[in-house]
Amino acid sequence: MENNKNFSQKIVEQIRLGKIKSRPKIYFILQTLLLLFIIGVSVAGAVFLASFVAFGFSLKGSLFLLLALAFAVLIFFLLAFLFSEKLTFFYKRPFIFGFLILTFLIFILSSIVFKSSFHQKVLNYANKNNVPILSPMYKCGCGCGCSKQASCSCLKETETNKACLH
Amino acid sequence: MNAVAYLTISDENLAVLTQKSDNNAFEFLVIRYEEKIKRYLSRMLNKADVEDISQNVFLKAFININSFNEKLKFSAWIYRIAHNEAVNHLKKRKTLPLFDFDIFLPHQSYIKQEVEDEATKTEIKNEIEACLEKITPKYKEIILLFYFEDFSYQQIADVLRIPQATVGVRLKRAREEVKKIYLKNYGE
Repeated sequence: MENNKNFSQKIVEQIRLGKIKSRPKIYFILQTLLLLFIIGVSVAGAVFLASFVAFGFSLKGSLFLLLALAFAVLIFFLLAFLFSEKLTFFYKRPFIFGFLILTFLIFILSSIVFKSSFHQKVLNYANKNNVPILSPMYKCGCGCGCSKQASCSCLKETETNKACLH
Repeated sequence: MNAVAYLTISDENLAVLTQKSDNNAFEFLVIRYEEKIKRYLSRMLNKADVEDISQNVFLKAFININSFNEKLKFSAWIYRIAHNEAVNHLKKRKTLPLFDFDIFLPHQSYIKQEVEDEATKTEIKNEIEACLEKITPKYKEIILLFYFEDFSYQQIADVLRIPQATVGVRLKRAREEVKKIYLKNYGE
């Protein structure tokens, strides 16, 4: 009994002396927002990269689906490893469901981005302006990934006709 | 508020009072859960570590009290903290895997809680007590929560943060493991 008394007293004493303070509610709200932001950025990154590779190599159909699947696998395991016990999305249902939802989402969103003129616009912008990371990423400017840069025939074609041969 | 009033308040309301800076309310929570948490941890860890880790559990509960949602069960919340502390301790000793693949696939047939009569439950409890040290940590925890803490599948799922059907699968495998160990050591 004495031991029990000591245990609770020891804890309460630390609290009363101000050695231990509870974190404010805003801390947990910000933590959740940060978590959602990281998930948003990861999914957006996967969508961008999947559509970028598809744009560069003109992938369509099942190859595109495979590509989206590969990015979904990467992103899902990264998110699951980091947040599987923090978000109900991950732990309330078997992982396979969350994985399929994420694959579908990445496939649909990257298809939309691929079909839109987004990458063409970024390509034109990256060609006109020397943007770090972006310009080297789009390499020769046609998105074909040939890495010939200025000597690439596709680029000359792009410069004169403002359209890529690929 | 006097001591008698605190005694009649539910755990969830005591937690809400703690959120409103009522430290006495937290003291009552510590008194209510001290024995349960110590008992749970003592079956999971070495006896020598139990006192320190139990203390950490309550200190962490106080630090994170504002993350507690009053609509949920306080018991599941505090056992979740105890589980985390135990897992961190076991992982330091490398006795737990980093990832379990049984949470990946659906196990719909195990989602419904099995009903056992008292005699069967007591028999299984005795078998568990006899071979507790030899049970795999992953199964030991689930079996402790179900048979010794009387948690439902849903509550266990909330504590371990795994799908409810996975609780059913792990419990079934845990029972099988207990039976095997028990028969090996004590025969029929």
